[in-house]
Amino acid sequence: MVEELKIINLTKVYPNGKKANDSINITVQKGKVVGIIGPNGAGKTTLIRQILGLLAPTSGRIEIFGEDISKKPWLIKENISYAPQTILYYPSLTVKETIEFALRFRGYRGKELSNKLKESLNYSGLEQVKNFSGYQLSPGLARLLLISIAFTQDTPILILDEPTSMLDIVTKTHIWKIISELNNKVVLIASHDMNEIRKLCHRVYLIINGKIIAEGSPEDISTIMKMPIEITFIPVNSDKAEKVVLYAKPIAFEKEENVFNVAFENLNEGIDFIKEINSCSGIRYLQLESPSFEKTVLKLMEGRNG
Amino acid sequence: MDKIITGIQMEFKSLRIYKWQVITYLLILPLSYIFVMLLFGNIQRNDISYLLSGYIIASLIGSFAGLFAIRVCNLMQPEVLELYATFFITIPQILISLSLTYIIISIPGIALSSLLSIKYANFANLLIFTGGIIISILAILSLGLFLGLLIKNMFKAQGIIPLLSWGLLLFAPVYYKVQHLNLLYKVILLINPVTHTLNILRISLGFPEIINIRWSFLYLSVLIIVIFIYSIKSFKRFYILEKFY
Repeated sequence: MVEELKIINLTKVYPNGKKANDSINITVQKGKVVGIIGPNGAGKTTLIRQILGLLAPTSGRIEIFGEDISKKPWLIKENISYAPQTILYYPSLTVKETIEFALRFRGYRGKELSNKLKESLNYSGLEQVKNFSGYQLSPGLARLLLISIAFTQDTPILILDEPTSMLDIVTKTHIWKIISELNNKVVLIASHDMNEIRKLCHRVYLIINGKIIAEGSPEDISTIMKMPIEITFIPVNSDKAEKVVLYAKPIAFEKEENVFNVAFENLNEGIDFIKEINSCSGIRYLQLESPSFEKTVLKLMEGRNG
Repeated sequence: MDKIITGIQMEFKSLRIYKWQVITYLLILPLSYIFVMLLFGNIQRNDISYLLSGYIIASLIGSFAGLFAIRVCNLMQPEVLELYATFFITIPQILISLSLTYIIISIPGIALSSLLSIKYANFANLLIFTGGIIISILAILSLGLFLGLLIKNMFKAQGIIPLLSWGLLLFAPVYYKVQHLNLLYKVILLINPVTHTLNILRISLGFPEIINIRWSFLYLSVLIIVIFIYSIKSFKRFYILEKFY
Protein backbone atom coordinates (compact mmCIF):
# COMPACT_ATOMS: atom_id res chain seq x y z
CA MET A 1 0.00 0.00 0.00
CA VAL A 2 1.39 3.39 -1.01
CA GLU A 3 1.38 6.01 1.72
CA GLU A 4 0.43 9.51 0.60
CA LEU A 5 3.17 11.10 2.67
CA LYS A 6 6.10 9.28 4.19
CA ILE A 7 9.07 10.72 6.03
CA ILE A 8 11.89 8.24 6.37
CA ASN A 9 14.85 8.66 8.74
CA LEU A 10 14.89 12.38 8.11
CA THR A 11 17.76 14.27 9.67
CA LYS A 12 18.51 17.93 9.25
CA VAL A 13 21.70 19.47 10.56
CA TYR A 14 22.22 23.20 9.98
CA PRO A 15 25.68 24.46 8.99
CA ASN A 16 26.12 25.77 12.56
CA GLY A 17 25.89 22.16 13.77
CA LYS A 18 22.38 22.43 15.23
CA LYS A 19 20.46 19.22 14.69
CA ALA A 20 16.93 20.41 13.90
CA ASN A 21 15.54 16.98 13.00
CA ASP A 22 16.99 13.67 14.09
CA SER A 23 15.92 10.43 12.36
CA ILE A 24 12.28 11.44 11.99
CA ASN A 25 9.89 8.76 10.71
CA ILE A 26 6.31 9.78 10.01
CA THR A 27 3.72 8.14 7.83
CA VAL A 28 0.44 9.76 6.90
CA GLN A 29 -2.34 8.02 5.04
CA LYS A 30 -5.41 9.23 3.23
CA GLY A 31 -8.23 10.29 5.51
CA LYS A 32 -5.93 10.73 8.48
CA VAL A 33 -5.03 13.88 10.35
CA VAL A 34 -1.57 13.75 11.87
CA GLY A 35 -0.37 16.24 14.46
CA ILE A 36 3.14 17.34 15.29
CA ILE A 37 3.57 18.92 18.67
CA GLY A 38 6.59 20.19 20.49
CA PRO A 39 7.98 23.29 22.18
CA ASN A 40 9.35 26.28 20.24
CA GLY A 41 12.51 25.33 18.37
CA ALA A 42 11.68 21.62 18.50
CA GLY A 43 12.09 21.30 14.75
CA LYS A 44 8.47 21.29 13.59
CA THR A 45 8.79 24.13 11.09
CA THR A 46 12.13 22.78 9.81
CA LEU A 47 10.39 19.48 9.16
CA ILE A 48 7.57 21.21 7.27
CA ARG A 49 10.02 23.28 5.22
CA GLN A 50 11.76 20.08 4.16
CA ILE A 51 8.46 18.52 3.11
CA LEU A 52 7.78 21.68 1.08
CA GLY A 53 11.21 21.42 -0.56
CA LEU A 54 12.37 24.75 0.84
CA LEU A 55 15.12 23.11 2.90
CA ALA A 56 17.29 20.14 2.00
CA PRO A 57 17.40 17.12 4.30
CA THR A 58 20.90 16.24 5.52
CA SER A 59 19.96 12.57 5.30
CA GLY A 60 16.83 10.48 4.90
CA ARG A 61 14.06 11.11 2.44
CA ILE A 62 10.51 12.29 1.97
CA GLU A 63 8.10 10.43 -0.26
CA ILE A 64 4.85 11.61 -1.78
CA PHE A 65 2.78 8.72 -3.16
CA GLY A 66 5.88 6.54 -2.88
CA GLU A 67 8.10 8.90 -4.93
CA ASP A 68 11.18 10.58 -3.51
CA ILE A 69 10.58 14.34 -3.72
CA SER A 70 14.27 15.14 -4.18
CA LYS A 71 14.06 13.26 -7.50
CA LYS A 72 10.61 14.52 -8.46
CA PRO A 73 10.30 17.98 -6.85
CA TRP A 74 7.30 18.94 -8.96
CA LEU A 75 5.22 16.48 -6.92
CA ILE A 76 5.40 18.88 -3.97
CA LYS A 77 3.54 21.82 -5.51
CA GLU A 78 1.23 19.52 -7.43
CA ASN A 79 0.03 17.67 -4.34
CA ILE A 80 0.56 19.90 -1.33
CA SER A 81 -1.27 22.99 -0.11
CA TYR A 82 0.30 24.84 2.75
CA ALA A 83 -0.74 27.39 5.35
CA PRO A 84 2.36 28.87 7.02
CA GLN A 85 2.78 29.68 10.68
CA THR A 86 3.82 33.30 10.07
CA ILE A 87 1.13 35.83 9.26
CA LEU A 88 1.85 36.51 5.60
CA TYR A 89 -0.23 38.25 2.95
CA TYR A 90 0.01 39.97 -0.40
CA PRO A 91 -0.35 43.59 0.76
CA SER A 92 -1.85 44.97 -2.43
CA LEU A 93 -4.14 42.09 -3.33
CA THR A 94 -7.64 41.91 -1.92
CA VAL A 95 -8.85 38.78 -0.17
CA LYS A 96 -10.90 37.87 -3.24
CA GLU A 97 -7.97 38.43 -5.61
CA THR A 98 -5.60 36.39 -3.46
CA ILE A 99 -7.91 33.36 -3.46
CA GLU A 100 -8.64 33.92 -7.15
CA PHE A 101 -4.94 33.85 -8.05
CA ALA A 102 -4.41 30.72 -5.95
CA LEU A 103 -7.15 29.07 -8.02
CA ARG A 104 -5.90 30.43 -11.34
CA PHE A 105 -2.45 29.04 -10.68
CA ARG A 106 -4.20 25.69 -10.20
CA GLY A 107 -5.73 26.06 -13.64
CA TYR A 108 -9.26 27.15 -12.73
CA ARG A 109 -10.85 29.40 -15.35
CA GLY A 110 -14.27 30.85 -16.28
CA LYS A 111 -17.40 29.55 -14.58
CA GLU A 112 -15.48 26.91 -12.64
CA LEU A 113 -13.22 29.62 -11.23
CA SER A 114 -16.05 31.93 -10.19
CA ASN A 115 -18.02 29.07 -8.58
CA LYS A 116 -15.00 27.84 -6.67
CA LEU A 117 -14.11 31.38 -5.59
CA LYS A 118 -17.63 32.02 -4.35
CA GLU A 119 -17.67 28.72 -2.50
CA SER A 120 -14.30 29.46 -0.90
CA LEU A 121 -15.33 32.92 0.28
CA ASN A 122 -18.57 31.55 1.70
CA TYR A 123 -17.27 28.59 3.64
CA SER A 124 -14.30 30.50 5.05
CA GLY A 125 -16.47 33.38 6.19
CA LEU A 126 -14.29 35.84 4.29
CA GLU A 127 -17.14 37.04 2.05
CA GLN A 128 -17.65 40.18 4.15
CA VAL A 129 -14.00 41.23 3.86
CA LYS A 130 -13.45 40.07 0.28
CA ASN A 131 -12.56 43.57 -0.89
CA PHE A 132 -10.08 44.27 1.92
CA SER A 133 -6.46 44.50 0.82
CA GLY A 134 -3.90 42.26 2.52
CA TYR A 135 -2.43 45.12 4.53
CA GLN A 136 -5.87 45.97 5.96
CA LEU A 137 -6.45 42.53 7.45
CA SER A 138 -6.18 41.78 11.15
CA PRO A 139 -3.77 38.93 12.01
CA GLY A 140 -6.75 36.63 12.56
CA LEU A 141 -8.27 37.42 9.15
CA ALA A 142 -4.87 37.08 7.44
CA ARG A 143 -4.51 33.66 9.08
CA LEU A 144 -8.00 32.72 7.90
CA LEU A 145 -7.06 33.79 4.38
CA LEU A 146 -3.95 31.57 4.43
CA ILE A 147 -6.05 28.63 5.55
CA SER A 148 -8.63 29.35 2.84
CA ILE A 149 -5.90 29.42 0.18
CA ALA A 150 -4.74 26.01 1.37
CA PHE A 151 -8.27 24.53 1.52
CA THR A 152 -9.51 25.93 -1.77
CA GLN A 153 -6.71 24.42 -3.86
CA ASP A 154 -8.16 20.99 -3.14
CA THR A 155 -4.85 19.10 -3.17
CA PRO A 156 -4.54 15.61 -1.71
CA ILE A 157 -2.14 16.76 1.01
CA LEU A 158 -2.65 19.70 3.37
CA ILE A 159 0.08 21.01 5.64
CA LEU A 160 -1.07 23.46 8.28
CA ASP A 161 1.45 25.14 10.56
CA GLU A 162 -0.31 26.54 13.65
CA PRO A 163 -3.54 26.82 11.66
CA THR A 164 -5.84 28.37 14.20
CA SER A 165 -3.58 30.52 16.34
CA MET A 166 -4.98 34.08 16.59
CA LEU A 167 -8.44 32.96 15.49
CA ASP A 168 -11.47 33.60 17.65
CA ILE A 169 -13.14 30.57 19.17
CA VAL A 170 -16.08 30.60 16.72
CA THR A 171 -13.80 30.67 13.64
CA LYS A 172 -11.48 28.16 15.27
CA THR A 173 -14.34 25.73 15.83
CA HIS A 174 -15.49 26.28 12.25
CA ILE A 175 -12.00 25.49 10.90
CA TRP A 176 -11.78 22.41 13.11
CA LYS A 177 -15.10 21.24 11.69
CA ILE A 178 -13.82 21.68 8.12
CA ILE A 179 -10.59 19.79 8.90
CA SER A 180 -12.41 16.97 10.62
CA GLU A 181 -14.66 16.57 7.57
CA LEU A 182 -11.71 16.19 5.16
CA ASN A 183 -12.08 12.44 4.82
CA ASN A 184 -10.26 11.98 1.54
CA LYS A 185 -7.14 13.99 2.30
CA VAL A 186 -3.88 13.74 4.15
CA VAL A 187 -3.59 16.47 6.76
CA LEU A 188 -0.45 17.30 8.70
CA ILE A 189 -0.85 19.86 11.48
CA ALA A 190 1.90 21.42 13.55
CA SER A 191 0.46 23.10 16.59
CA HIS A 192 1.01 24.25 20.14
CA ASP A 193 -2.70 23.99 20.81
CA MET A 194 -3.18 20.68 22.63
CA ASN A 195 -6.93 21.04 22.47
CA GLU A 196 -6.73 21.37 18.69
CA ILE A 197 -4.43 18.36 18.36
CA ARG A 198 -6.57 16.26 20.68
CA LYS A 199 -9.77 17.17 18.83
CA LEU A 200 -8.50 16.72 15.28
CA CYS A 201 -5.64 14.25 15.09
CA HIS A 202 -5.79 10.53 14.64
CA ARG A 203 -2.09 10.27 15.38
CA VAL A 204 0.28 12.59 17.19
CA TYR A 205 4.06 12.89 17.12
CA LEU A 206 5.73 14.70 19.99
CA ILE A 207 9.03 16.22 18.87
CA ILE A 208 11.60 17.58 21.28
CA ASN A 209 15.06 18.75 20.24
CA GLY A 210 14.40 17.40 16.76
CA LYS A 211 13.61 13.87 17.92
CA ILE A 212 10.28 12.08 18.15
CA ILE A 213 9.91 11.15 21.80
CA ALA A 214 6.34 9.90 21.74
CA GLU A 215 3.83 8.90 19.12
CA GLY A 216 0.34 7.47 18.99
CA SER A 217 -3.25 8.60 19.22
CA PRO A 218 -3.94 11.44 21.70
CA GLU A 219 -5.50 8.79 23.97
CA ASP A 220 -2.35 6.62 23.72
CA ILE A 221 -0.16 9.56 24.56
CA SER A 222 -2.37 10.50 27.51
CA THR A 223 -1.69 7.10 29.07
CA ILE A 224 2.06 6.99 28.43
CA MET A 225 2.76 8.38 31.88
CA LYS A 226 1.03 7.67 35.11
CA MET A 227 -0.74 10.94 35.76
CA PRO A 228 -3.07 11.85 38.63
CA ILE A 229 -6.77 12.36 38.00
CA GLU A 230 -7.86 15.90 38.71
CA ILE A 231 -11.35 16.85 39.83
CA THR A 232 -12.68 20.36 40.10
CA PHE A 233 -16.13 20.76 41.62
CA ILE A 234 -18.50 23.12 43.39
CA PRO A 235 -20.59 21.34 45.99
CA VAL A 236 -24.07 22.32 47.05
CA ASN A 237 -22.99 22.10 50.68
CA SER A 238 -19.38 23.14 51.21
CA ASP A 239 -19.06 22.06 54.84
CA LYS A 240 -20.23 18.53 54.13
CA ALA A 241 -18.01 18.32 51.03
CA GLU A 242 -14.97 19.37 53.03
CA LYS A 243 -15.56 16.52 55.47
CA VAL A 244 -15.80 14.01 52.61
CA VAL A 245 -12.57 15.34 51.13
CA LEU A 246 -10.71 14.98 54.42
CA TYR A 247 -12.02 11.42 54.77
CA ALA A 248 -11.11 10.45 51.14
CA LYS A 249 -7.45 11.56 51.59
CA PRO A 250 -6.71 12.82 48.04
CA ILE A 251 -3.07 13.29 46.99
CA ALA A 252 -3.74 17.00 46.53
CA PHE A 253 -6.46 19.32 47.78
CA GLU A 254 -7.08 23.01 47.27
CA LYS A 255 -10.11 25.11 48.05
CA GLU A 256 -10.67 28.56 46.68
CA GLU A 257 -13.91 30.13 47.92
CA ASN A 258 -16.45 27.42 47.03
CA VAL A 259 -14.37 25.75 44.29
CA PHE A 260 -12.69 22.50 45.30
CA ASN A 261 -9.70 21.03 43.44
CA VAL A 262 -8.70 17.50 44.37
CA ALA A 263 -6.39 14.91 42.82
CA PHE A 264 -6.31 11.14 43.12
CA GLU A 265 -3.79 8.60 41.95
CA ASN A 266 -6.18 6.59 39.80
CA LEU A 267 -9.51 6.89 38.06
CA ASN A 268 -11.42 4.44 40.28
CA GLU A 269 -10.59 6.41 43.42
CA GLY A 270 -11.78 9.55 41.64
CA ILE A 271 -15.07 8.00 40.55
CA ASP A 272 -15.76 6.68 44.07
CA PHE A 273 -15.03 10.13 45.46
CA ILE A 274 -17.46 11.82 43.04
CA LYS A 275 -20.22 9.35 44.01
CA GLU A 276 -19.56 10.05 47.69
CA ILE A 277 -19.58 13.81 47.27
CA ASN A 278 -22.76 13.69 45.20
CA SER A 279 -24.60 11.66 47.79
CA CYS A 280 -23.36 13.66 50.82
CA SER A 281 -23.26 17.26 49.65
CA GLY A 282 -24.56 17.37 46.05
CA ILE A 283 -22.64 18.80 43.10
CA ARG A 284 -23.38 22.06 41.27
CA TYR A 285 -20.39 21.96 38.92
CA LEU A 286 -18.01 19.16 38.01
CA GLN A 287 -14.93 18.91 35.81
CA LEU A 288 -12.80 15.79 35.58
CA GLU A 289 -9.58 15.19 33.67
CA SER A 290 -8.32 11.67 33.52
CA PRO A 291 -5.63 11.70 32.36
CA SER A 292 -5.09 15.03 30.74
CA PHE A 293 -3.49 14.93 27.27
CA GLU A 294 -2.14 18.43 27.76
CA LYS A 295 -0.60 17.67 31.12
CA THR A 296 0.94 14.41 29.92
CA VAL A 297 2.54 16.20 26.97
CA LEU A 298 3.74 18.95 29.27
CA LYS A 299 5.23 16.38 31.63
CA LEU A 300 6.93 14.59 28.72
CA MET A 301 8.38 17.89 27.50
CA GLU A 302 9.58 18.88 30.95
CA GLY A 303 11.10 15.44 31.41
CA ARG A 304 13.09 15.75 28.18
CA ASN A 305 14.08 19.36 28.63
CA GLY A 306 14.66 19.29 32.32
CA MET B 1 2.93 29.74 -20.01
CA ASP B 2 -0.47 30.09 -18.32
CA LYS B 3 1.23 30.45 -14.96
CA ILE B 4 3.59 33.13 -16.29
CA ILE B 5 0.63 35.13 -17.64
CA THR B 6 -1.22 34.75 -14.33
CA GLY B 7 2.00 35.77 -12.55
CA ILE B 8 2.19 38.94 -14.67
CA GLN B 9 -1.45 39.78 -13.93
CA MET B 10 -0.81 39.25 -10.22
CA GLU B 11 2.27 41.47 -10.29
CA PHE B 12 0.34 44.24 -12.03
CA LYS B 13 -2.33 44.08 -9.33
CA SER B 14 0.38 44.04 -6.67
CA LEU B 15 1.93 47.18 -8.15
CA ARG B 16 -1.22 49.23 -7.45
CA ILE B 17 0.02 49.97 -3.95
CA TYR B 18 3.39 51.10 -5.30
CA LYS B 19 2.04 53.29 -8.12
CA TRP B 20 3.80 56.42 -6.85
CA GLN B 21 7.15 54.64 -6.73
CA VAL B 22 6.57 53.45 -10.29
CA ILE B 23 5.69 56.93 -11.48
CA THR B 24 8.71 58.40 -9.67
CA TYR B 25 11.21 55.84 -10.97
CA LEU B 26 9.89 55.70 -14.52
CA LEU B 27 8.78 59.25 -15.19
CA ILE B 28 9.54 61.91 -12.62
CA LEU B 29 13.22 61.19 -11.95
CA PRO B 30 14.30 60.60 -15.58
CA LEU B 31 12.24 63.53 -16.85
CA SER B 32 13.54 65.87 -14.17
CA TYR B 33 17.03 65.55 -15.66
CA ILE B 34 15.68 66.44 -19.09
CA PHE B 35 13.87 69.40 -17.54
CA VAL B 36 17.12 70.67 -16.02
CA MET B 37 18.89 70.32 -19.36
CA LEU B 38 16.10 72.21 -21.12
CA LEU B 39 16.49 75.03 -18.61
CA PHE B 40 19.97 75.66 -20.01
CA GLY B 41 18.26 76.75 -23.24
CA ASN B 42 19.84 76.89 -26.68
CA ILE B 43 18.57 73.38 -27.41
CA GLN B 44 19.03 72.22 -30.99
CA ARG B 45 16.69 69.78 -32.72
CA ASN B 46 19.44 67.20 -32.53
CA ASP B 47 19.82 67.69 -28.75
CA ILE B 48 16.22 66.59 -28.21
CA SER B 49 17.06 63.25 -29.79
CA TYR B 50 20.17 63.01 -27.57
CA LEU B 51 18.22 63.76 -24.38
CA LEU B 52 15.36 61.42 -25.25
CA SER B 53 17.75 58.53 -25.91
CA GLY B 54 19.18 59.32 -22.47
CA TYR B 55 15.64 59.27 -21.05
CA ILE B 56 15.04 55.79 -22.52
CA ILE B 57 18.06 54.42 -20.68
CA ALA B 58 17.30 56.39 -17.50
CA SER B 59 13.77 54.98 -17.38
CA LEU B 60 15.17 51.46 -17.91
CA ILE B 61 17.52 52.03 -14.98
CA GLY B 62 14.59 53.25 -12.86
CA SER B 63 12.45 50.31 -13.83
CA PHE B 64 15.01 47.47 -13.78
CA ALA B 65 17.99 48.54 -11.65
CA GLY B 66 15.58 50.28 -9.26
CA LEU B 67 12.10 48.81 -8.91
CA PHE B 68 12.80 45.35 -10.34
CA ALA B 69 15.98 44.90 -8.27
CA ILE B 70 14.12 45.78 -5.05
CA ARG B 71 11.31 43.41 -6.02
CA VAL B 72 13.76 40.55 -6.67
CA CYS B 73 15.39 41.21 -3.30
CA ASN B 74 11.93 41.17 -1.71
CA LEU B 75 11.08 37.91 -3.48
CA MET B 76 14.17 36.26 -2.05
CA GLN B 77 13.25 37.04 1.57
CA PRO B 78 12.47 33.84 3.52
CA GLU B 79 8.98 34.97 4.50
CA VAL B 80 8.12 35.91 0.90
CA LEU B 81 9.45 32.57 -0.37
CA GLU B 82 7.25 30.94 2.22
CA LEU B 83 4.27 33.02 1.11
CA TYR B 84 4.78 31.94 -2.51
CA ALA B 85 4.99 28.34 -1.26
CA THR B 86 1.22 28.66 -0.72
CA PHE B 87 0.69 29.08 -4.49
CA PHE B 88 1.12 26.54 -7.29
CA ILE B 89 3.94 28.43 -8.99
CA THR B 90 7.71 28.01 -8.77
CA ILE B 91 10.19 30.77 -7.93
CA PRO B 92 11.79 30.77 -11.43
CA GLN B 93 8.28 31.14 -12.91
CA ILE B 94 7.61 34.07 -10.59
CA LEU B 95 10.90 35.64 -11.59
CA ILE B 96 10.08 35.36 -15.29
CA SER B 97 6.67 36.92 -14.58
CA LEU B 98 8.32 39.78 -12.70
CA SER B 99 10.83 40.41 -15.50
CA LEU B 100 8.09 40.50 -18.12
CA THR B 101 5.92 42.77 -15.93
CA TYR B 102 8.67 45.37 -15.59
CA ILE B 103 9.47 45.15 -19.31
CA ILE B 104 5.78 45.74 -20.10
CA ILE B 105 5.69 48.72 -17.73
CA SER B 106 8.66 50.28 -19.53
CA ILE B 107 7.41 49.71 -23.07
CA PRO B 108 5.05 52.73 -23.48
CA GLY B 109 7.72 55.21 -22.36
CA ILE B 110 10.39 53.55 -24.48
CA ALA B 111 8.16 53.40 -27.55
CA LEU B 112 7.15 57.06 -27.34
CA SER B 113 10.68 58.28 -26.62
CA SER B 114 12.09 56.10 -29.40
CA LEU B 115 9.67 57.54 -31.96
CA LEU B 116 10.46 61.10 -30.89
CA SER B 117 14.22 60.60 -30.71
CA ILE B 118 14.19 59.08 -34.22
CA LYS B 119 11.99 61.93 -35.47
CA TYR B 120 14.37 64.61 -34.12
CA ALA B 121 17.60 62.81 -35.08
CA ASN B 122 19.56 63.88 -38.18
CA PHE B 123 20.14 60.25 -38.99
CA ALA B 124 18.65 56.96 -37.81
CA ASN B 125 19.62 53.34 -38.35
CA LEU B 126 16.49 51.52 -37.22
CA LEU B 127 18.11 48.08 -37.16
CA ILE B 128 20.91 49.14 -34.81
CA PHE B 129 18.47 51.26 -32.78
CA THR B 130 16.14 48.27 -32.27
CA GLY B 131 19.08 46.01 -31.46
CA GLY B 132 20.32 48.67 -29.05
CA ILE B 133 16.96 48.85 -27.27
CA ILE B 134 16.76 45.07 -26.95
CA ILE B 135 20.30 44.66 -25.61
CA SER B 136 19.79 47.64 -23.28
CA ILE B 137 16.65 46.04 -21.84
CA LEU B 138 18.42 42.72 -21.36
CA ALA B 139 21.60 44.26 -19.90
CA ILE B 140 19.89 46.57 -17.41
CA LEU B 141 17.35 43.89 -16.48
CA SER B 142 20.26 41.50 -15.80
CA LEU B 143 21.93 44.17 -13.72
CA GLY B 144 18.75 44.60 -11.66
CA LEU B 145 18.45 40.84 -11.24
CA PHE B 146 22.06 40.63 -10.11
CA LEU B 147 21.61 43.44 -7.56
CA GLY B 148 18.39 41.90 -6.26
CA LEU B 149 19.99 38.50 -5.79
CA LEU B 150 23.22 39.90 -4.37
CA ILE B 151 21.76 42.12 -1.64
CA LYS B 152 20.07 39.63 0.65
CA ASN B 153 18.77 42.09 3.20
CA MET B 154 15.63 43.90 2.06
CA PHE B 155 16.17 46.87 4.39
CA LYS B 156 19.70 47.37 3.08
CA ALA B 157 18.44 46.97 -0.48
CA GLN B 158 15.96 49.81 -0.07
CA GLY B 159 18.88 52.12 0.68
CA ILE B 160 21.61 50.66 -1.52
CA ILE B 161 19.67 50.04 -4.73
CA PRO B 162 18.47 53.64 -5.27
CA LEU B 163 22.04 54.79 -4.54
CA LEU B 164 23.46 52.37 -7.11
CA SER B 165 20.83 53.44 -9.66
CA TRP B 166 21.88 57.02 -9.08
CA GLY B 167 25.54 56.00 -9.53
CA LEU B 168 24.73 54.22 -12.80
CA LEU B 169 23.04 57.39 -14.06
CA LEU B 170 25.77 59.75 -12.87
CA PHE B 171 28.68 57.76 -14.29
CA ALA B 172 27.19 57.47 -17.77
CA PRO B 173 26.63 60.13 -20.39
CA VAL B 174 22.86 59.95 -20.04
CA TYR B 175 22.31 63.70 -20.20
CA TYR B 176 25.80 65.05 -20.91
CA LYS B 177 28.30 64.64 -23.72
CA VAL B 178 31.64 62.85 -23.35
CA GLN B 179 33.62 64.68 -26.01
CA HIS B 180 35.04 67.29 -23.62
CA LEU B 181 35.70 64.97 -20.69
CA ASN B 182 39.23 63.93 -19.72
CA LEU B 183 40.50 60.48 -20.64
CA LEU B 184 40.44 59.02 -17.11
CA TYR B 185 36.77 59.95 -16.66
CA LYS B 186 36.00 58.48 -20.08
CA VAL B 187 37.65 55.20 -19.02
CA ILE B 188 35.61 55.17 -15.80
CA LEU B 189 32.44 55.76 -17.83
CA LEU B 190 33.29 52.78 -20.03
CA ILE B 191 33.25 50.43 -17.04
CA ASN B 192 29.59 51.30 -16.58
CA PRO B 193 27.40 49.10 -18.83
CA VAL B 194 24.93 51.98 -19.11
CA THR B 195 27.54 53.93 -21.13
CA HIS B 196 27.62 51.10 -23.66
CA THR B 197 23.83 50.99 -23.99
CA LEU B 198 23.88 54.74 -24.65
CA ASN B 199 26.76 54.35 -27.09
CA ILE B 200 24.79 51.88 -29.21
CA LEU B 201 21.61 53.94 -29.20
CA ARG B 202 23.40 57.20 -29.99
CA ILE B 203 25.50 55.76 -32.78
CA SER B 204 22.26 54.50 -34.36
CA LEU B 205 20.94 58.10 -34.13
CA GLY B 206 24.00 59.58 -35.79
CA PHE B 207 25.89 60.83 -32.73
CA PRO B 208 29.68 60.33 -32.44
CA GLU B 209 30.80 57.06 -30.91
CA ILE B 210 32.40 56.83 -27.46
CA ILE B 211 33.92 53.46 -28.33
CA ASN B 212 33.47 51.15 -31.31
CA ILE B 213 29.93 49.79 -31.33
CA ARG B 214 31.20 46.20 -31.61
CA TRP B 215 32.94 46.53 -28.25
CA SER B 216 29.74 47.82 -26.66
CA PHE B 217 27.71 44.90 -28.02
CA LEU B 218 30.41 42.47 -26.89
CA TYR B 219 30.69 44.03 -23.41
CA LEU B 220 26.93 43.94 -22.88
CA SER B 221 26.58 40.41 -24.27
CA VAL B 222 29.27 39.10 -21.93
CA LEU B 223 27.61 40.89 -19.00
CA ILE B 224 24.21 39.39 -19.83
CA ILE B 225 25.67 35.87 -20.17
CA VAL B 226 27.67 36.09 -16.92
CA ILE B 227 24.65 37.32 -14.94
CA PHE B 228 22.42 34.72 -16.59
CA ILE B 229 24.81 31.96 -15.47
CA TYR B 230 24.97 33.47 -11.97
CA SER B 231 21.16 33.59 -11.78
CA ILE B 232 20.76 30.05 -13.04
CA LYS B 233 23.21 28.92 -10.36
CA SER B 234 21.24 30.81 -7.72
CA PHE B 235 17.99 29.14 -8.73
CA LYS B 236 19.47 25.77 -9.62
CA ARG B 237 19.47 24.99 -5.94
CA PHE B 238 16.01 23.64 -5.58
CA TYR B 239 16.12 24.04 -1.80
CA ILE B 240 15.95 27.80 -1.91
CA LEU B 241 15.82 28.57 1.83
CA GLU B 242 19.16 26.76 2.34
CA LYS B 243 21.11 29.84 1.36
CA PHE B 244 19.89 31.66 4.45
CA TYR B 245 21.67 29.25 6.79
